[in-house]
Amino acid sequence: MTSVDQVQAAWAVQRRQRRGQTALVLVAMVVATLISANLGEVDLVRLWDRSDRLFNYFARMVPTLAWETLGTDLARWYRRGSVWLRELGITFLIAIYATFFGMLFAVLGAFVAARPLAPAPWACWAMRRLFEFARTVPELVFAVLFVFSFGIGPLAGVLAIGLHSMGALGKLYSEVAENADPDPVRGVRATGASWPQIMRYGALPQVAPAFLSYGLLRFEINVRAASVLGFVGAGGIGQELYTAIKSFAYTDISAIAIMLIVSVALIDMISERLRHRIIGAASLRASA
Amino acid sequence: MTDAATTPSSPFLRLEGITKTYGSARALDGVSLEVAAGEMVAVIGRSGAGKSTLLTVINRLIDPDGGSFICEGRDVLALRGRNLRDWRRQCAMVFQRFNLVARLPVLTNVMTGRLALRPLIPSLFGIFTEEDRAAAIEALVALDMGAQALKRADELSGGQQQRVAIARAMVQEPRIVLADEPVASLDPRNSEAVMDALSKINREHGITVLINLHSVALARAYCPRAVAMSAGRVVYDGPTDGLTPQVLERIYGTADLDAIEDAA
Repeated sequence: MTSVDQVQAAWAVQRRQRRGQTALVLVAMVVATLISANLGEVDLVRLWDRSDRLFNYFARMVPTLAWETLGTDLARWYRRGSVWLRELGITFLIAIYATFFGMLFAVLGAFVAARPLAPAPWACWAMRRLFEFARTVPELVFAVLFVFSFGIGPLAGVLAIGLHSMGALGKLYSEVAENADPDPVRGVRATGASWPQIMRYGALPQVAPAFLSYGLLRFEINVRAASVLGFVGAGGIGQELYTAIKSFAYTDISAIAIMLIVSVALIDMISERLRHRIIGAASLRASA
Repeated sequence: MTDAATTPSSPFLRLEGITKTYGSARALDGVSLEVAAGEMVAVIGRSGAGKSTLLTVINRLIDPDGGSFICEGRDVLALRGRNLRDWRRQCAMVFQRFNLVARLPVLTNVMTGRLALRPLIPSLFGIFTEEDRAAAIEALVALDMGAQALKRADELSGGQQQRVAIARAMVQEPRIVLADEPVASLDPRNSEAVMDALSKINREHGITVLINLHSVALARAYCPRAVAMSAGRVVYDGPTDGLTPQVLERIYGTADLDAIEDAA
């Protein structure tokens, strides 16, 4: 039997050890922060000294709007509005196409990359490495590469975001597929169906709501990604934004930024509603 | 055993010395079994005796480590690719937990039984033939499930789902039906409906039926022949009438039927 005193003593020992560990971790974190600040040239004094320049930049972006001449002021602020609207539309199209192709290839590859479902271990390994490569390389790097090969324009943007989406979604999808109930898969397999048929009928119906939901989430991310791809010539509103920044057209920057913020917020809201509806319906059915 | 296979009097299915090991556990330890075409055989024994493994080896969902398995002179264990899939189609399986695809309609679930008969590309786009649909509807109606055809599989009760699973098995146009504890998750009334359905398949279509059962009473009521397994071996093979208290004692370690139900 363990006496009360023994438990108390053991507790005291454990607390001492835990406190020692916590202190050690804290010291290590502080040291690491200081070292990385030094190496990375993070200069707090400089940050404080120059912060007024940041506010200055924002101040210059505010257009002169007077109540009496509001109409003409706004018209001047958004004098290139129709061009920007068209470029914004292209940005959305880039995001839509890229999400579509990314989802398509992620769905096809996810079942190969899911360990319990994979047709062969080597195929699973290869598909996982492919997804890894596609999501580790940033979209901008892909974009530069594709602009170089296929020329300036939205095609490069679609390919860059699509490839990255495939990698990111492929990882998520294969994890969802690994958690699918094996019973229906076994049931379809026992009928003599071939591997693609087993995936189509045994696995896909189970994971479809999650796939769709993650795809919509990726679409939100892709709209934001597509809006900066123009910086490297891969089409969309980013090109206009980049030009405005380079030519110090401050009010143009704010005009474009506002258009971007409003439309991205709208897309996020709509897509979130859709996602909740899909997931809500799926979980309701599962519990029924 | 190729000489036996060429003899005209050879049985429909002949398993010899089948072994299967999971890690250090011997699921099947030299199982030999002969089944004639059109038989209805109960496979009984405690859980973990190797009954499920035996059925999944016959369907070739899992491969045994050793032994031979001949069906009408064909080496079943040597089948690969298309031939293997066609073998699985001929050996329809019915599972304890139904193994339907919950989110798909009942009709589609049944039509998945036709996948092995159909070309790949149309089937991936969800296209089945009129004939497939007709066969599925016919199978559902025959099991009194016509009214549920358009519902989602997960809207049905357990007994209904098991009948859908039997309909799926039937549209495979099987020669053998392997039922793995088909009534273990069902109440007595549904158990009876499912057992009646399996019995009807055997009688009216002449399909060979192997059923894993934990209930000796059900085995006696529906199957003329019983194969009893214990620790991966066949310990009794004969008429269900021959399951005397002494024999049950040997299979289960007790002759008390209530204790047997609890143990299984």
